[in-house]
Amino acid sequence: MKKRLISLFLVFFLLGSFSFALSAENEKLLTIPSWWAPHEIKGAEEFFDKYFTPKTGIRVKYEYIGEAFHEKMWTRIAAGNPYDIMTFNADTLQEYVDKGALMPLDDFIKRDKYDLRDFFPIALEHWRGRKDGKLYGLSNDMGSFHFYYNATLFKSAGLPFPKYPWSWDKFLSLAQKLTRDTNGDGKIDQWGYISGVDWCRDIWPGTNGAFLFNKEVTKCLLDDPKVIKALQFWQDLTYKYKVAPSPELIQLTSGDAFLSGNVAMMLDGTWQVGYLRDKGAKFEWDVALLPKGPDTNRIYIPNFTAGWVISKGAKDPEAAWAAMKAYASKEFAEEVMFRTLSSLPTRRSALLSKKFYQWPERPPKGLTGEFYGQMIKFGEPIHQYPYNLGPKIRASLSKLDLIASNQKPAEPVCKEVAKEVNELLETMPWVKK
Amino acid sequence: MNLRLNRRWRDNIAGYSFIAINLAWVLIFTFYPVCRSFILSFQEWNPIEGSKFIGLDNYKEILQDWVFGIAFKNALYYALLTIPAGLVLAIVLAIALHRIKGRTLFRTLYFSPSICSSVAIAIIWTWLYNSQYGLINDLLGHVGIKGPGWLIDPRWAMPAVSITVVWAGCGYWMVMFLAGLQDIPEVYYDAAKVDGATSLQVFRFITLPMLTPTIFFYLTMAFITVWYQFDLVYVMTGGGPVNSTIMPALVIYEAAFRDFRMGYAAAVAWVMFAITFIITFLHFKISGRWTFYGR
Repeated sequence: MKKRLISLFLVFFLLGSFSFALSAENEKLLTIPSWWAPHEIKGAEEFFDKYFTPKTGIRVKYEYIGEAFHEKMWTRIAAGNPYDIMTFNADTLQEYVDKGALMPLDDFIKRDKYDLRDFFPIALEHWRGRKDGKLYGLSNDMGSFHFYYNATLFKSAGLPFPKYPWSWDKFLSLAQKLTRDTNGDGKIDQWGYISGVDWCRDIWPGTNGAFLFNKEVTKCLLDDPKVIKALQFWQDLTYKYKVAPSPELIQLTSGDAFLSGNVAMMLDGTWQVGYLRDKGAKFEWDVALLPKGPDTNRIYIPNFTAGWVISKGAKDPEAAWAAMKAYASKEFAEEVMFRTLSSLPTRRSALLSKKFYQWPERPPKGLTGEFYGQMIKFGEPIHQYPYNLGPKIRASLSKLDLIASNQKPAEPVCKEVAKEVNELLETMPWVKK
Repeated sequence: MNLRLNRRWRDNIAGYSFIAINLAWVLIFTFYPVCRSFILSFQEWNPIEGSKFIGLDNYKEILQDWVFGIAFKNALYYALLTIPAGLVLAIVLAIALHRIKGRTLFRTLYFSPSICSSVAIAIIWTWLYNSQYGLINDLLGHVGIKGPGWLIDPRWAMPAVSITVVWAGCGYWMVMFLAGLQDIPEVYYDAAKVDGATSLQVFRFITLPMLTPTIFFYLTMAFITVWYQFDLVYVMTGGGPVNSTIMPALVIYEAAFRDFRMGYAAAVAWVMFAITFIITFLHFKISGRWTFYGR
């Protein structure tokens, strides 16, 4: 009797394993490499498990890749085993397109009559090849940069909240009033401003209506007086006015520094909204658009997009395309992007969706439809360099560290670097005729 | 005769069987990649388009590459800072911990950084070096010294990295020199005592000469590893500020995995190998004049 029971158990076990193996084989697996945080990946996988896999039989699994992301992508491409789908920021798209690593989507779009009209033009512009104009990716993740401010600190100091239009001078005045040595030990422990953003070198000049390179990246504009003024202002925030900690504190994520409650204003990306909500700041906080520099009247809102592309060597391009359509959908924006990443929508229908504003009782109050609408309407691609500039230009640009570390003022550094970089640009393949 | 040959064959087969797995491993994962990289150094390689033979162009480019020139100079500066300091510190620690009470505990403490992750060490030291909140500048402030921006000042970044490297490696070399010290016959010290030699004379005429084989080994390894410093620099400074800590290994990494110029990266690696080989060869050649192996 005992032997029969054991035999029966073994038969059922084998049958169960076999059917499990069969079902696993019937289900296709699509792996998405991503740098998203665990809670963001969890949200995305839940979406696909709930809405996508039952309809298509395609399982979508994210693979976290923290460091050396592009190195890993290229290594897989070089090995002849690329991910079917890759995710990255649009600034790196051109490099992949130029090397022929990506599959254009135009044929899929035409065949399936996929409607692109719902996307904001800026969201599609980032994903077109500069030479052939073909569309290589779809995005459901638009980010931007703005100020976060600690409303509790502002109220305690009796100061008005920052609100656009505000100037550099107004920003500086507020930062100075909120930078304090609260315990009298001679060290500043409440800072007026912090920025953990590596793109500060681009953003501050942008607020003054100037950029480090022209749009085609054929000329370096570091010697533009407006750029010099902006970078000098950036240096002075830390070393002359002492309203910002030294650049080394950028190694601590600015979100954590802001969460400590000891920073009055933080310049960072839209993704910090989700992070601050998740961590539950113990003070009131809100958002404001970037201040304007003295040499411009235009509003500056730097945008960038992250999205999905299909590798040229994809093993199952149809599965990849099906998953990409699900990723770029309004539903994914509502269920995943707004909840976990606090991204800007790339679709009009998503911006109008009630789910976009589904936490009215949670801070910040300033994140209204009007605020987001301004960010999308006036947003322009942040001048991240669409081409790999190469080691020599990178080495030359690293001299800007002299400004960040207060070794030299901005003007001589900018002029020297502009001259060097412009000479080097003439040797670059996209500049050489 | 046949019997002897058969026996020899059997012995050979047995021997080769024992080393077969390791030999296969070395051939596949060391010998083949080395040969492949040598061939690659004469090619231009792209992950999509494949390779194209370009002769000596990569090597010619190295001679004109000022970024590599900066990295080479940085490596020499780094060697000047770390090699003598590491040597002196290791010998001093070895002598200090040779016979004291509690030496086991102290040896363990000093050796422990050698078994820590270099990335963890780099992160901790980056915080120690923070110019506003780091422990080092805080301690300096207590004695009236305003500490520099260690990792953001191009004058101080390489010394800062060098201090970390010396600290991380001193325990390992301390153990090596301890072994060397323990190998010195007591009879020499007894004779010196009888002759009334001072501690300094004992150190100069007995300890140091008898340690020269270990010093030779230290210098050989130091000359080789100085060119391959990567992990601490990558994490602490990324080669900055203002290229003050960019090292040849970082140049190779960026060329290979950031710019995807595998051929050029391979050429730089072979140039580094050639430099290391020449230095090590010369070092071996002159070692006979100052290394004492006698008893």
